[in-house]
Amino acid sequence: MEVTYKVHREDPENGGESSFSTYQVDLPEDATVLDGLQKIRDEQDDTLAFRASCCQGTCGECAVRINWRAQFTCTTKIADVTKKGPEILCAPVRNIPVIKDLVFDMDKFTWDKMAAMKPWMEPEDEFAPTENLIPESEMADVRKTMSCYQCGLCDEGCAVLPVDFDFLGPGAMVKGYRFVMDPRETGARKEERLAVVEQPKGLWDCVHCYEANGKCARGLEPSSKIMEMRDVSFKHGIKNEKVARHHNSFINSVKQTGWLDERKLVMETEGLTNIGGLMKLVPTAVRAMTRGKMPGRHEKRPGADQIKRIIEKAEESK
Amino acid sequence: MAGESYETHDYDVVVVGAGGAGLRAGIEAHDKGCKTAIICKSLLGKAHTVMAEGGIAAAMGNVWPEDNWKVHFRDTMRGGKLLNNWRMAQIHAQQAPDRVLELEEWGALFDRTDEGLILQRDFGGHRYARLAHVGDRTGLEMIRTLQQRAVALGIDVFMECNIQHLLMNDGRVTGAIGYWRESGELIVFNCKAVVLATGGSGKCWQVTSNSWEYSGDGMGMAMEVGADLIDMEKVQFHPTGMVWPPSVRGILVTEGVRGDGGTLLNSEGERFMFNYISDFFKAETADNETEADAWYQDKKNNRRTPDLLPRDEVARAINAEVKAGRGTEHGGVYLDIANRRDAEYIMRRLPSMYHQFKELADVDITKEAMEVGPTCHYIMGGVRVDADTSATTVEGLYAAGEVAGGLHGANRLGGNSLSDLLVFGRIAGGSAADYALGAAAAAAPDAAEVDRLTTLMLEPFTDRGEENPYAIHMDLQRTMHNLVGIIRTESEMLKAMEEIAVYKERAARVKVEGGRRFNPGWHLALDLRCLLGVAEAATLSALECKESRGGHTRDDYPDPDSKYGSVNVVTRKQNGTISVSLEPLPEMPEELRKIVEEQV
Ligand SMILES: Cc1cc2nc3c(=O)[nH]c(=O)nc-3n(C[C@H](O)[C@H](O)[C@H](O)COP(=O)(O)OP(=O)(O)OC[C@H]3O[C@@H](n4cnc5c(N)ncnc54)[C@H](O)[C@@H]3O)c2cc1C
Ligand code: SF4
Ligand code: FES
Repeated sequence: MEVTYKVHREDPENGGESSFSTYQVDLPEDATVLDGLQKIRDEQDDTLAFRASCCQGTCGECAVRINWRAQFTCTTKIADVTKKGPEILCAPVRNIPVIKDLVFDMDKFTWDKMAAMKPWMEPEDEFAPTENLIPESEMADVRKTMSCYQCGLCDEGCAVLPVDFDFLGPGAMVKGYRFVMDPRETGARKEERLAVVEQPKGLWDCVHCYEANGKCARGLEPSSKIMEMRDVSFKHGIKNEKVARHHNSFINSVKQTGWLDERKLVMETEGLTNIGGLMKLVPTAVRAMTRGKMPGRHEKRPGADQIKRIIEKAEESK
Repeated sequence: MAGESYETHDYDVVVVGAGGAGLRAGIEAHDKGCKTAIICKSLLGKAHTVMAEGGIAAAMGNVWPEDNWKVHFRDTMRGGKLLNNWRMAQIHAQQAPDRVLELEEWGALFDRTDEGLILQRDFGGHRYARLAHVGDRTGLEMIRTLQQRAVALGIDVFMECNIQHLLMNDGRVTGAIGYWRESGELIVFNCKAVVLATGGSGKCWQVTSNSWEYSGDGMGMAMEVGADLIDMEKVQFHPTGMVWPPSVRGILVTEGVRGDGGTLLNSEGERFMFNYISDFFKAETADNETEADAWYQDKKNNRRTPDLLPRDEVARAINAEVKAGRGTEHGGVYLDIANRRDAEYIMRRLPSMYHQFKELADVDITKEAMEVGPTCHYIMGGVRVDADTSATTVEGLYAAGEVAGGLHGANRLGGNSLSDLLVFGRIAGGSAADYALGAAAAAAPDAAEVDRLTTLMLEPFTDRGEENPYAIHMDLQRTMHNLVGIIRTESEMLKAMEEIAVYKERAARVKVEGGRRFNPGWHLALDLRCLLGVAEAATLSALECKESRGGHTRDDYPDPDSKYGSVNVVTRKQNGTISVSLEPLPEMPEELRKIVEEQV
């Protein structure tokens, strides 16, 4: 089968101009996209740089955007990506600095962020070789997320990362989930673990676009895992102080007046004693005021007591 | 090109390799108080160890109270046809359970029984279900746990940094030199001890389960500084690799499929393994289908199915069936688990296998049989090490994991590699640290030697010919597959030696295009040195070893010969040529010999 590969080329050493090179390759019908890249490299252009290790879908090293959709080259068949025409476009994964051609900077992309999750357990004391007794049923759920490739496909789809590269991202959050849900960590350990995932730029910065759910190469549903961890966090008491203030202000406002008092919410979230933080709000407030967009004061609305009772009921049943 | 610039780093211990062995070694050296670096040529966490599926062999005695180190030791020795270093086999069996529990302490999540114990799985050659596992992704969980431990301890990791040569001073290894893949810049490490944990050399062969990383770097580098290699002819061809479609040929089908109930069938639908039970394993193997089937339900009162004989036996049997015309359309045999297990069971126990066949071969293993055939998988031979310290025959140099030889003898049992990595990675890291803490500071590397090596590394960019490194590599793989494959004969291997000599000449004329930044052509051009060196050592050993045993089968000497029953085949490079000699194995103490010979 004759196919045309259009491959992104970029070499910062040679000025860093990015362009596309085109190659004609003859491949068997059931070849993978990786087979084609290897054939090009072996026979036509041995400077073409891309990553791949296991070639069988277990290592997660070969993520590339194929016809603009990020996937693994080693498990993607050429037949499946040439249905609309015999051209296969390969470009590096989005949002990450390119090292060369299809190779991107994993360090910045995932490693530092994974490490921020402190994905390890600290032995309680000197190594004492005895077994933990944990039934399979308790382990089964958390085990699902252990299979994360650390491939970065989920981060590629993330809506926050393009505007805030410091956001830990769904890949790191899945790593966090793996430990937050571990039945072997209880008590103070569990609280510390939640504090780690709730760090600034962590759990609470997700804007729930749910993109990562569709991107994950292992079907781990990273976005849903973030929401599940938020539930756990609620139950244990939110550790991220700013988020906790926001949460309390929101509930209190609705409980007391039946309304959401946005002015109060913004200030209480920042913290009423946090002068520096409050000062930062001033320009926004001024702009809102001059444009007539400053929310007004909310009087207690009719039926507020009933709303309060509903909230209290919900809190009891939590 | 003399005077090429390079960066320099100083450490007590440098570990080359970040698979299971390297990470465990680095952790131990760090824990002993050494300034430690771990170096790997791929990204951290993508080493071969990540691909391991089935499990970690350890006689935990939890699910099977009958199991203990002695039984594991016996199985390992018998599986290795008694060519194992007995002391390594003993240490391995004794320490493996603690290493598994240690992984759990650091966070690993093993599959469990309903009672909460670490569940263990059946594998070939192991008397009891003994493989601690995480579905069929054990290696992944193991490497994650270790890499995260290394990060937690703050050990320096150099990723995508390829070590090319060891540096020597006064007959002692004092450093290493290599290049960054990303930038192509050169890098020198000065240290007091080096641990090699670079894995195997399966990429010398054409049909292989191994990745590009297995170019035999550690074995090649060790040989170049005069370290002994042993048993390089003992190559494990795993019986079940994928055979179709061609682009996936060689990819591994875990033994876990057979451990969990899959059986081998020829094109006539016959369970042919009953015809291939050697005398050595007669007593412990079912000789009829009724008993073999009953074993799946009641393992205590029945003998195990011959589908789970050690790998060398099964690989030879498949080879023979295909040769006799009873193979499948694509030259393999069938492996069927759908006829015994339901879809839910298969998906839970073997999720990776399910996806692998679905995505790559369009086969649904919960409904259809797989087509499988032998694939080059593991090198039993490797760098010769001392059992108690993992020291090689060169001062300051240690080796652990697949790069080292001795533990597995003539044939490795499944699961015994992951446990090997943990047990001997720890020992190698600890001994290297002890040595480094007692040793004088390493002398600065000899500038002339460094200049010589940097020139050598940059040579492929000079105008010296038109050879393509990929063409040479493919030719080498074909030679090794056709002439030094599962079944070998003298005339073919002599031909292989001639061809390897030609490839060496061609390798000296390789020319690469482009610059130094992430240049795959250059990377392979440099890898060729070790690939060719290791292929040559393996072929020479195979020529010398005129018998058949375990992972070495000769058409012209089809039987075992007692002359080779208690020796190592040693390869050693001196003054540029490789010599081969037979040297006696260490003598096994009487009480251990009794354990091995005990009939059960
Ligand atoms: C598909 C598959 C399935 C397997 N399943 C099992 C199983 O179920 N149970 C079992 O016990 N065994 C199994 N094995 C075997 C086992 O996985 C390997 O033998 C083992 O992982 C080797 O570990 P290692 O630490 O020695 O090397 P690796 O894990 O391969 O690590 C080698 C390291 O060395 C680095 N390296 C190599 N050369 C250089 C260099 N020149 N410079 C710098 N770094 C270098 C690499 O980057 C890598 O980090 C399996 C193997 C395969 C291929
Ligand atoms: S969560 Fe999924 S997509 Fe994200 S890194 Fe892990 S395997 Fe890849
Ligand atoms: S190369 Fe390992 S997943 Fe593609």
